Order: sequence, then structure tokens, then C-alpha cells
Amino acid sequence: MPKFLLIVCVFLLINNLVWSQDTLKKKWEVDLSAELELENQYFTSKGLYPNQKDYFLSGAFKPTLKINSADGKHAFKVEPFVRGSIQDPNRTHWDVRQAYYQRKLKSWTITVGVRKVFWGVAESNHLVDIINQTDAVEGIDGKQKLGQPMLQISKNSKLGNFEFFYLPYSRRIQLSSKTGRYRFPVVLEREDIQFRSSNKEWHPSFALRWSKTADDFSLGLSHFYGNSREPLFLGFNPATGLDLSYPVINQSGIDIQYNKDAWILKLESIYRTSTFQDFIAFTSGFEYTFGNVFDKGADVGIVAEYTYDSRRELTFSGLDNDVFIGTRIALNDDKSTDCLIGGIFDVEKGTTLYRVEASRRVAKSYKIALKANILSNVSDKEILYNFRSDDLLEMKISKFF
Amino acid sequence: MYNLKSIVASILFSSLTLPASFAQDRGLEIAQNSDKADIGYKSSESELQMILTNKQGQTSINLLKNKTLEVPNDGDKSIIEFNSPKDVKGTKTLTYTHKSGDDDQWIYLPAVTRVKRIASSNKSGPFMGSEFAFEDLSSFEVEKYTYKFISESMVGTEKIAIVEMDPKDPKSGYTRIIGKFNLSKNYRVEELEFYDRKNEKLKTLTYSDYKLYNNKYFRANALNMVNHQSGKKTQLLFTNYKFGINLSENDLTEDNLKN
Repeated sequence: MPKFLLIVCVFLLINNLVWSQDTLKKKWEVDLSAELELENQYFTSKGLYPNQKDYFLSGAFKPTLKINSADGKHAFKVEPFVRGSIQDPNRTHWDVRQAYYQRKLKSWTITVGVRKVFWGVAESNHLVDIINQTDAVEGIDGKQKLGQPMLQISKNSKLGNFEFFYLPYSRRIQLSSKTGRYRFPVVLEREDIQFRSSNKEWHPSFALRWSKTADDFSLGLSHFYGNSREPLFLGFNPATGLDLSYPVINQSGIDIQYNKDAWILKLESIYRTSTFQDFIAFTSGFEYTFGNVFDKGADVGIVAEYTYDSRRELTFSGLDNDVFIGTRIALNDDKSTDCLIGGIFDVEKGTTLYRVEASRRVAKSYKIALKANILSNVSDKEILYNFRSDDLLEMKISKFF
Repeated sequence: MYNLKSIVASILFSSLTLPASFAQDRGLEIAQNSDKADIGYKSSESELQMILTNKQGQTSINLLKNKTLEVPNDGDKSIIEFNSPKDVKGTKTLTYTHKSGDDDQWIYLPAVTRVKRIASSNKSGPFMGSEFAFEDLSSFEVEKYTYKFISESMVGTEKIAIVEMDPKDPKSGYTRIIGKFNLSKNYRVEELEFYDRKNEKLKTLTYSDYKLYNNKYFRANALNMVNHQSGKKTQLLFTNYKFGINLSENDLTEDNLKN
């Protein structure tokens, strides 16, 4: 931490010297917005474990403050997050999703603070994406991420975009409490999953990424060293529960996307090594969009992806030999009506997760989102076997300010 | 007499056939002049209000910010940032327009901080539920159409030329577009009439409230699109037009969408 603070201080000091000369008369654009969300979750079957509830009511508040200099050289962003859940204390949580200062110098960009960074091209599995820890209590799709403290330096050139990350601190995953769903028989609190390195969360992590778009191809190469974000899963023991930990890892990643007409072909792959486990994994597939169907304006997209993970039954996400097939329908109307229907099928074990999502704007600044996650035919060899009774129906109403 | 008749006939006949190439050349010339009038603007930014009106007269408003960079020998590069409806606030699109072939397009989704390269072959679909299709909003490139000159006449003190533009791209939603160019006002566009794939009149776009910027570039501050088939309307109102802003290729990259 002290090292990181020192770097930040020196950086800010240099910046202040630069500011005092030419930017005091600068004009600033300040923008404040927020989302207030009410969430209803109903699980259609009784929980497998004692104390698990069926109905969950929670609310979330997500404000965003953006301050940009008129010349585009300086930017601040602050994005806190808070959720209060009545039935699941572990879902009551707050986080700093983003809080950073960004400086632009011609083709260089320097960012200091807490940030969310997304890498990758696939829809059903995000293998390459590694900078941020998942906010697991927000949903099993793993889309929501915890803020990550970092120093990020990017350089844009004709040879592509180069990015360097120094990540001084790692975050742990938070799982549901004993009343919550999507949990294991033994309740795992945040501190129950240990870091393997002696410096624990202060073991520094580093990452490099190069990306370039050339005509119809987009290519990304990345390498990460440091504390694993995803827990290492070494098996299940009825006496001690799940063997989970955060080892120090090296992960190399590649992501390729090819766009042609209405086609998008995708591949992302990783190779991860640690003292305890080496593995490779890839997700590959396509997306095809029928635009302006019947001249009614709607887009219908078809997505098909396959994932292989050589960890097989020890794959934490459960996606080790799975096919995702889905369709996304966007009506392109003035209410932004949107719908996603899909399923993930395990090729060998037959486990299936169906997902339906739909959303629509109501009035000027409200949005309703519906979601159903249904698990069927869950094999007892899957980590998902622990969640086999957790079929979810969800409704969210959001007000935007 | 007979000879004279045949001469007259042959002149008449030739005047019916000759215009094919003449009409093409004259039509192309007008389009080129219209395009040329815009060369050298380098960069511009503007804020726009998109007012959607349905058949019942109910309206909804989208607020957008647009930055465009002129790229010599290719299409423009532009960023559009959504400000309202508030649930899509912070969403941005980046478009590299090309003189031929599909454009390159990316979308930034702020909730998941993801930049996604999207298929841009869908040209005829509506933009944000409006009466503007994506192809109506992409930058005008001479190479995207073939031309037929139809007529030229004085309207008041101004010389107006009518030119038919036929999209070369089979994915276009139109068979033809009838354009009115104002030759007295640096070839600016006054009106476009769009005919759908069944060659039926679909939409009319009227350009109004023209202002001259930097003493050189005409920009309409109001665009009014009326859909004759659905009865819906979309009005685009531009404010705060600025030219020659501080904008470079470095600002129009995928990485730059992410903040």
C-alpha cells in the first residue's frame, strides 16, 4: 500500500505543477446521474439447505459523478454502489465500483484509482477478462464486478493499443449468507477463502495487454501475473467442504473477433499456471444478426458458443464442455424493448441452464427488467449441483435520475 | 419536308437518349459539388435533440452529443454519446465511415465497461426507435450512389436541381432517393425523398434553419423526417455547432470510448 500511495502522490504532485501553469482557467463539465433500483427475487423451489429463504426483496443505489475538463485532458469519475437486502445479509453490501482520475497526453492515457476494466469478445463465458473480481452476490452470471485499485498506463499507436496495469490490492469474492440462494452446503464467508501468497491481498499483480483492429479483424493479447481472481477449486470433501483458495497465477490470454457483414466470429482462450494447477480453456462461436426484420425495425441476433476447459469437473464456473445457444431480439422501438432467450448445455453431463431476460423503458425515466434462470437435469458431478433447487424469477424496477 | 421531319425526329430521339449519360454526369457533378462544399471542415461537434412523435402525437426526446473528424480520402470518424433517455446515458458509439463497403462500428456499454465491435451491415434499421435509419445518419459519400439528373429550375431567386440517387449497396433500405440541391447556396441539400424497396414513397426529410459556419460551411440546424407509411415523425435539432475543435485520431479510438 505505501508504495502505491507514494506513486499516486508523486503523480498528483506532477500533475498539480502542470495544472498551475496552463489550466487554472479551465472550464469543467460536471455531470451527476443515478439509478435507484428495486429488486424482487423469487425462487420457485424450497432451498436444499436449512434457513434458505424463497423470496428476497432488495434495493440498490448507483450514483455516478463525472467531471471532465472542456479540453478533454482531465477526467474524474466516482461511482459508488450500495445494496440493501432484507433477507440475505451478505447481499447487503457497498462498493466503490469506480473512483479514478484520468490524464490524457496526446496518445498516452494515465489512470489512477479504482476502475472496472473489461477484456474479451465472447457472450457466454468471460475467460480473458481478469482485472476485476466478480461481485458474486449480484448474480450468478458474473457480469457485475467489484472495483479494482490500479495504476493504468495506455499508449495508442499505429501498432495498436498498449496497456500496462499495476494492481496493488486484490479483492475476495463474496458469496451468499445462510439465508441466501446460490450457496454451498457450508456457508462460505469472504475470509474463508484464503490467499496462498504470504502478502495475501497486498501481493501485487501486474497485467499487460496489446490490442489492434485491422480491417475486419480485432485481436487482443494479454498477460496477467498475481493473485487469481477466480478461486482455485481443488475438490469437495464432505468433512471440510470445498477446497478453495486464491493462488498466485500467470495467465496468458488471446481474443480474436472477425466481423463480416452480419457475421461475427469469436475466439477467446487462456492458459493459466500456478503451483497447484495448469490448464487451458477456450470459448469460440459466432453471432449472426438479422437486421430490420420484415422491415419492422427489429433486430434478431443468433449467438452460439462452445466452451472447453481442461480443468473439467474442477472448473469453478461449471463451464467445462458446454454449448451456449441464444437469441437476442431488440425491437429498436422508442422504449428500447429488448429480450434474450438462451440456454447453456453441458455436452457430456447434460446439465442445462436456461435464461430469459427482457427489459423495456417505462415512462421517461423508468425501466422494468424481468429475468428467469432455470436449472434442469443438473449432474451431481457439477459444482452447480449445489444450486440445483435455485430456479429464479426476478423483476427489477429502476428509476433513473 | 420529309427530310426535315426526320432531322427533327432524330434530334428529338437523340435528346431522349443522350441524357442518359448527360443525366449521370450532371447528377454526379452536383453530388460532387455538394460534397466538395464540405471539404476542409476538419472537425466539428454539436449537441442534438431527437424528438420522436408517434401517430397519436405523443413525443419522446433523445439527447445526443456528436463529434466528427474529417478523414482525407476516406469517410468521417465520429463518436455519438447518449445523454437521454437516462437509462442509456453514457452509452457511446464510434463509427468509421468508409467510401465503399461496410462501416466499422463499436458500441460502449457503461454498465459493464465493455466496448463491443458490432455488425454494421444493418443499414436500414431504425436508430433509437426514430424514423432515421442508420444509413440516413452516416456521413454522405459520393461513391455510395449512382446519380440521375432530373431537372433544374428557379425557385424564387434560387436555382434548385433535382437529382435521383440510387444506393449501390444492396443492403440499403431504399431503391432511390430524390434529392433537392440548392445550387445558389453552395449545393446544400434542401430535401430528400426516400423510396422503399417496393419503390413506394416511404419518408421525406426536410432540411431547414440553415446557418453558415466559418463563412464557408452550411449546416441545417433542423432536420424533419416524416414517415408517410406509419404517420410517425422525427425531428433533429442541432445546437452548439462548433468547427475546428481540438479533435484528433487519438480521440476517436476504441480505448477512448471507455470513460
